[in-house]
Amino acid sequence: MLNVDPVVSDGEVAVAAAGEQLEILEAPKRPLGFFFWCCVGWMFILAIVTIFASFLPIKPVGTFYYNVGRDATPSFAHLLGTDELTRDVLSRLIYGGRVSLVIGLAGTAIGIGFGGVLGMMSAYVRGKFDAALSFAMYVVLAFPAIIAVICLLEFWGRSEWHIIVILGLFSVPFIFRVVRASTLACATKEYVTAARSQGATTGRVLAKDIFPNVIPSLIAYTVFTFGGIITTEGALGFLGLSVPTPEPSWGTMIGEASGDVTVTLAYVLAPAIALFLTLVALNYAGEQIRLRFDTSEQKL
Amino acid sequence: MSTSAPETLVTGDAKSEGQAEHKLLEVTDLRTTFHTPRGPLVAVDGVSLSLERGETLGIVGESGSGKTVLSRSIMGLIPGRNTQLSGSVLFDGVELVGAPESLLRSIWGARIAMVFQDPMTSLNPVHRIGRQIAETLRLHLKLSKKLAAESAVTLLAQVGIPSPELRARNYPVELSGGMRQRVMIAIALACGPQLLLADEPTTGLDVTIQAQILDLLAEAQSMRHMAMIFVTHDLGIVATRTDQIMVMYSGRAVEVAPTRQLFANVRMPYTEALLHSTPRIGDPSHTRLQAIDGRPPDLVHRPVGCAFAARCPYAQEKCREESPPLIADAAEPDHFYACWYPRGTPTPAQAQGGTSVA
Repeated sequence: MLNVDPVVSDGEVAVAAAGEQLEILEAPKRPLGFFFWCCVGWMFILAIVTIFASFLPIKPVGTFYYNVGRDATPSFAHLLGTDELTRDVLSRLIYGGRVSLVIGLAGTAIGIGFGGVLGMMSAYVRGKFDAALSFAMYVVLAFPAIIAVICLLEFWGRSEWHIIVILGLFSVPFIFRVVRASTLACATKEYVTAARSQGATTGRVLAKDIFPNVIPSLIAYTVFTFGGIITTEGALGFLGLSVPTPEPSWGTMIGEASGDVTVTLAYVLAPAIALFLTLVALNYAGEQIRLRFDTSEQKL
Repeated sequence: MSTSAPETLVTGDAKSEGQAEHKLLEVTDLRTTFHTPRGPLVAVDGVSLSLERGETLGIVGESGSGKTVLSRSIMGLIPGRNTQLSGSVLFDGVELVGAPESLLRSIWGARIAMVFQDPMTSLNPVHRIGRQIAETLRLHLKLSKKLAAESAVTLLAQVGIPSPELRARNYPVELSGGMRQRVMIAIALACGPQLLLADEPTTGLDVTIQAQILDLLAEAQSMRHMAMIFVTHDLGIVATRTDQIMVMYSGRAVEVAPTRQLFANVRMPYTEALLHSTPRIGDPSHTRLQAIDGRPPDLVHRPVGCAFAARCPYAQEKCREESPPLIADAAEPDHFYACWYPRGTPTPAQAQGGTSVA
């Protein structure tokens, strides 16, 4: 065989033991870190608790505890106290989390589905299709989203599914833009031409050569969108425009309790802290995962 | 072997028509037009060439002379919209111009393969290199996943990559430029193509690695009896490694000859200028290189006469008025050039000194 150029790369160690064959060790994986696992742990606990809420030893969510009284301070029976209508705050927090997370997940799924597919198509097909679609997306982006959402909800009626669809659709342009940009960036790369020169079909090129390159930015934006939708739902709830009462959501709870914070401190803090932890966990874990899958030069 | 412009095809074709078996590649009057907002841009303008099995053709020219577009046009691998391809490309008797994409796809990678210029961007960063080689094998040869992976390792060994079974699990970023170009070559060779198009395969590499890659290509070629089209701007590279050379300028072939004849007897002033602009090891130090003044012409608004006239030190009136056809040399029938006043034949006009434009 021909002579060989020396192999030097940062990600791995070449060890030449005396009399032994050259051994190349696998590049060590980037450690994810303790905080990452804390974030994953929080999301895991949240998922388990909200999914199995009805099996948990907590107070039933719709029950009024007149004997305990309004705005009771935390006690052993009611770990986070009661609200102004004498309902148990802990169970409302858990059931509210269920509403917030379902809206976040389903809305993000709509955003990723439409935004991702349209973005990739738009960037790969180019031409008039791309121009028309991009223009439509910019029109939606230019809309003051929160006002549009409020109007639509008032007109259409407030229900969980309406909120999911509306918030999901309003997140489409953001994902569309990101996916279109990353697709454009790699559709012009030589490896796409190379894949075509090896006889790959358009579908194969999109699925196997372009999509894996879009994933890192898609993950980052999925997490961002998820957080954004939960926050927007919170804002709607605070304004009393989210899911109709008595069903709780984190935003609705903060809104209800914001009347007199001195009395209802636990009630305000509980959903706010839950929301805060969830957003931090999502963003941090998302960023770590993105870095883990990033095989570009910057890693070295 | 004959290479000729359409006008002079008569002699060239009369010989080949008698042969029962067709040539591996026969390109006739190939023309690639990009429809730009400024007007049609003819990047390849009526190029004809032919190639036998196992032969090597070098295509030489400066940047923007249409070499890369020509090599991609031969394959049919050009961006679909706003691009028009005309003429004929007969590959092993099959017409590729205007062929359905499904036919082209069955040929691409399997029978005609390409090695790209920049090994840094021509490998997909998100897949392990073993998988990238195996993909082609599975697509064209319908190998099983396991067999394809094993063949990929064998191919990596063949292109001189140490510890191939470990390397196959690496991502492109973990390899050096020379290694990546070896991987690209392994991908191109995977299905045993009959024709390899190498588009400036050593431009992005270190000089020390260039020779290794060239040797590797030459070795693969002789082992597999594969024809190769070698696109480069470096005359030094093609001088020792090709059977035939085509010099391109502004999308046209301006001089075509068997390698020996071309270097022994340069006719076209552009080829001469290219040769003079190459540094020579025998020159005393601090010898000034002779650069070619000016730039290649705008391909949307092509000059009336010879495209090189404006930069040619020997240009005459006729050169600016009429475009010279590609004609065969009187003494060497295999040597073609497009020039009214070729080098090596002193004309009366030239004897007077010739008005230099530069």
